[in-house]
Amino acid sequence: MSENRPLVETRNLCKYFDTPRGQLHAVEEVNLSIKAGETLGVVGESGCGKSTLGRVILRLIPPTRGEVYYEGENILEYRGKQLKKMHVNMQMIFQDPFTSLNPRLSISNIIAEPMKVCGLVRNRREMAERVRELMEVCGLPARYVNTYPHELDGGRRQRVGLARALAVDPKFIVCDEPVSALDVSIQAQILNLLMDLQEQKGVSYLFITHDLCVVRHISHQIMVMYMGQVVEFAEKNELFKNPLHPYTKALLSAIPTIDLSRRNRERQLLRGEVANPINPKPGCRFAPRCAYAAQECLEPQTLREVAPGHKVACWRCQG
Amino acid sequence: MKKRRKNGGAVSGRSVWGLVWFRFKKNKLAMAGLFVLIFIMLAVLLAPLYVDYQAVVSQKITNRFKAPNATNWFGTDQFGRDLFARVVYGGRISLFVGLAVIMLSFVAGCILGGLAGYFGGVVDQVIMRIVDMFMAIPAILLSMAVVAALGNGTGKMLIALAVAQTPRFTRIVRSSIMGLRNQEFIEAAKCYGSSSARIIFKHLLPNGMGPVIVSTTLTLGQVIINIASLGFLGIGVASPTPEWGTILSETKAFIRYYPYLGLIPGACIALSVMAVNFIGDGLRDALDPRMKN
Repeated sequence: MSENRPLVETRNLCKYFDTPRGQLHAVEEVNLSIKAGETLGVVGESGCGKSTLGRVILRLIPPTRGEVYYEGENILEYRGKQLKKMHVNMQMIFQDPFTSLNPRLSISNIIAEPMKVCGLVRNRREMAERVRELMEVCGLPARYVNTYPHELDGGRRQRVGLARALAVDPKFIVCDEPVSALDVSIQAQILNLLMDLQEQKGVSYLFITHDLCVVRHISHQIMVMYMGQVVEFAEKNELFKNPLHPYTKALLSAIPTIDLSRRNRERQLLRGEVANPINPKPGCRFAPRCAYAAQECLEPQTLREVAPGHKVACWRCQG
Repeated sequence: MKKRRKNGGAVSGRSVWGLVWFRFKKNKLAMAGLFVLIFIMLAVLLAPLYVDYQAVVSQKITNRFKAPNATNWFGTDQFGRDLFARVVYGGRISLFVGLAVIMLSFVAGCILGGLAGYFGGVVDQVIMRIVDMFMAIPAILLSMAVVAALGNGTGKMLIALAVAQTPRFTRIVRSSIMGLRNQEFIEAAKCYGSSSARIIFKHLLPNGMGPVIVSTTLTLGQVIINIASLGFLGIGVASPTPEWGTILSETKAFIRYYPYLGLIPGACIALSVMAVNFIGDGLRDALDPRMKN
């Protein structure tokens, strides 16, 4: 594949949920592109539509509007047998390792299930071979092959979830907060495992998280979301060095630090609550909490490129 | 049972069903239930080998209301028929129709409840409104209507009784499926393209089976009584063919003076229901890998 062509791309992707009180705008006009072998980190506070975005990309939730491209093909138009191409190339790792594994299936069956469904193996021996190989790749000792999920701890379960996702040999994996339910020590193991896999197999990740340290560790590019909209998009180091959007600035200043010299640094504390995502007004959705809000913020804000590869949705940021 | 698992021998282990049997064996109550049920089933199945069918139907009015004794183990009824012979032969219908009915309605309830619970929306509305309609009609009346439509006969009675029990199972299955369908492992299964049928039967139903199994096994007694009610109405099992529920209802006028007439067939029903219930409980626990080995 050529260097520049993105592996996964979305265009004007929207997802609105109909609720009794009106339309909930979970994902609004999201355009993103992920190159092969790269990781796009998606950050934002809870309820900002990160998980919905990941699920819409995998067609677990039908989008309201917009397109999702995989290797240049609109996967939303896939029907029947074409879907298989999507299922073997795009997978997901879930947040809660305690509910993401079927408690009635043994570890080997959980890992084998995707291969059975997609018809990737011919016989039992081949399957057993693959399961053992996947378990080894994911750092699971072979003795767990016949155990059940409830017998494993959170980190091992998450490894099983990863092995299951890898079973079909996907090129793209949506990681929906895969480490937020784990201990910090286990978090690092899983993150490093994910990064090793990326190095070996060239997998791309859409990495959804609310943990900025995690996203800094694993991502190449970072997308900041607020109430369904992308407010800032940049290369990792650029974003951490030069955050432009007021929301991103506030997020970054909220990262705890162990550096004593920066102990009394000025923090930008956000006040108030996230505005109601049901039938939101046009204009900047962050404005009600923004320290720099002005009349212009009532106008719709579009994502503009202010520096190469750095996009911001704020009229104040002029690069 | 001793089949090797598909791990290629990495870890020697039992097959899935071997594991279930291993856990089931540890449950003493369930094993007792299993033995009792096997005993009763053998006794009624092998009845022709040791009881002459003539004893079931031949009336001898001088011999009526004999208390249990050496020749008539369970005594005789109001027509002088041997109660032991009637109970043994009666069990053939009660037990097998009863078990067939609960299995049939269990399967039908799983399919209907599974579809309604998993798909939700229109499918759910259509299935559940039909189920509501069926539930609004008393079970006996519904069975009568089905028999009236299909005609008489044991097989048709079986279907009639199953139709009457299915709505309850459908409701129970649906509610347990609805609690599970938003779990992340279901999303994962969708992610690698599992068909809806596979999701329902492989991922949802096995996890929602607990309450359904208990309810199924408890229904057996009710079904046996329903067979009797249908018999009383002249549908299904007609006199003088014995059946536990029928024996109970025929002798109920005399149990004040001859309590054994009610106690013995009643005990048979109670024993079978308890045995099946214990087996069901044991099976539920044995099928759940989360239970301690």
